[in-house]
Amino acid sequence: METTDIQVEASGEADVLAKAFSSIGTYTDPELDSVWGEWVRFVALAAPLHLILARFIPGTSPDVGESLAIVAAAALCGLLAVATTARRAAMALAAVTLTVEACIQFPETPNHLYLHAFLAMVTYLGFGADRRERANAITALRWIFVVVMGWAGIQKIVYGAYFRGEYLAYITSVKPFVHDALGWTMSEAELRRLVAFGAPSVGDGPYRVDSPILWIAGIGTWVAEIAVAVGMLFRAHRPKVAVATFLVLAVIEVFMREFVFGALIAGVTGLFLSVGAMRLTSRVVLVGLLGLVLMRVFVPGWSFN
Amino acid sequence: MDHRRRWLALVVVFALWPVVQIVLVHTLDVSPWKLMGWGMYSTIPPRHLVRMREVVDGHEVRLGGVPIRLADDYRHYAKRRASLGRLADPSELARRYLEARPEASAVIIEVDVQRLDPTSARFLRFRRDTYRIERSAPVR
Repeated sequence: METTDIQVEASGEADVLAKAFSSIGTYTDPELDSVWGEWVRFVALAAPLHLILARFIPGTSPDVGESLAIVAAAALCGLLAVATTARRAAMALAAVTLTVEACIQFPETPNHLYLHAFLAMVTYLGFGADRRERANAITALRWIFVVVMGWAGIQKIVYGAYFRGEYLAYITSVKPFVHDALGWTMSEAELRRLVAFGAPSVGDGPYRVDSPILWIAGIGTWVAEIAVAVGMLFRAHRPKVAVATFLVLAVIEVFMREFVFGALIAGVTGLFLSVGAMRLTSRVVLVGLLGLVLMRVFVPGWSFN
Repeated sequence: MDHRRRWLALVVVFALWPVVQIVLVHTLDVSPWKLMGWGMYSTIPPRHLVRMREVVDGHEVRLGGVPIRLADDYRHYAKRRASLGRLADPSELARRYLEARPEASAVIIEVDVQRLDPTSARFLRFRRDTYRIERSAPVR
């Protein structure tokens, strides 16, 4: 995978702020149009899949997608983006629909819904009269990746639940599928102790186990998130960092089942890659989301939680 | 016209917002998972345990449970409280309670904030907020 980012040339006198913004790079012609079209379709098609997934899979995002009107509007924006040339209208509709849904859910709005609404809004702003705005929008989207992944890692440091596997011990105690996946990393007695807690109540704990594997997994989580955020700033390493990001996201999906967040971040990761790799990324992600929806609809009783 | 500085402003606001969110978490018990701080899964979700008492004839009466007709209002406040911490205003729940219980002269809403203590790795109660809301006008 080769990256094709080319920095937008500074116009006129040296402008430190503009240069700082552009330092993460973007696409230029002829790749720009192709990437832009693919990205717009990705954001628009992900909108209905996101809401349908939330609506039909209990435990993913309580109440998101409950309004049929919102789901229908999201479906319409996906249709507009794919079947017509009204992509700007599709993105406006996506931005409005997702923002309305985020407002309806407030203050319980899940972060991936904010993220999706923000991605749609930034993409809509890229439809300015000047074509350079598309390049600028992609630059902004790349910064969004850095910000989100960077903060996701920093927040895990802030609350101190990832230094000795505390959070992982907690989800082992409450999520049966994590219990199955991580049970082997600790003694049976430790596992029994954690499972006995169930939903936490005052005095429960310590959520800490004598398992170096779990400690490494906890520390590795925030290290990896910060590392991929910083790594994307270095152009030469982006293909490798993108692969690392996909691996990190895959691990997060296995343990947290946060599919929409993973899908959106994977899509943005594609914007650091060559046109072909970007296209492949967005399509694989969309097919994955569609697959989850179809599994839920056609396989009775199937759920990933 | 080059709008890169405007785009930069957008990105800077987006990048700095989590600082505000962290301050809100530490000062007002906002959920670390909420409000676009990208702190989901960063810690065990804190719990805000909401309890109510009423004052009848000058005596506090502990309730066995939430009156059934107030269940939705209670749930609504509890959810808002879990996300927004002390930014969630209990006065609407209190007003509805006093409407439903004309004999009560005041309602006391007590919220225990429980969260993971990173030092001991135990789930502990960190604070208790008590709101006493008096009936200010006759119930119609």
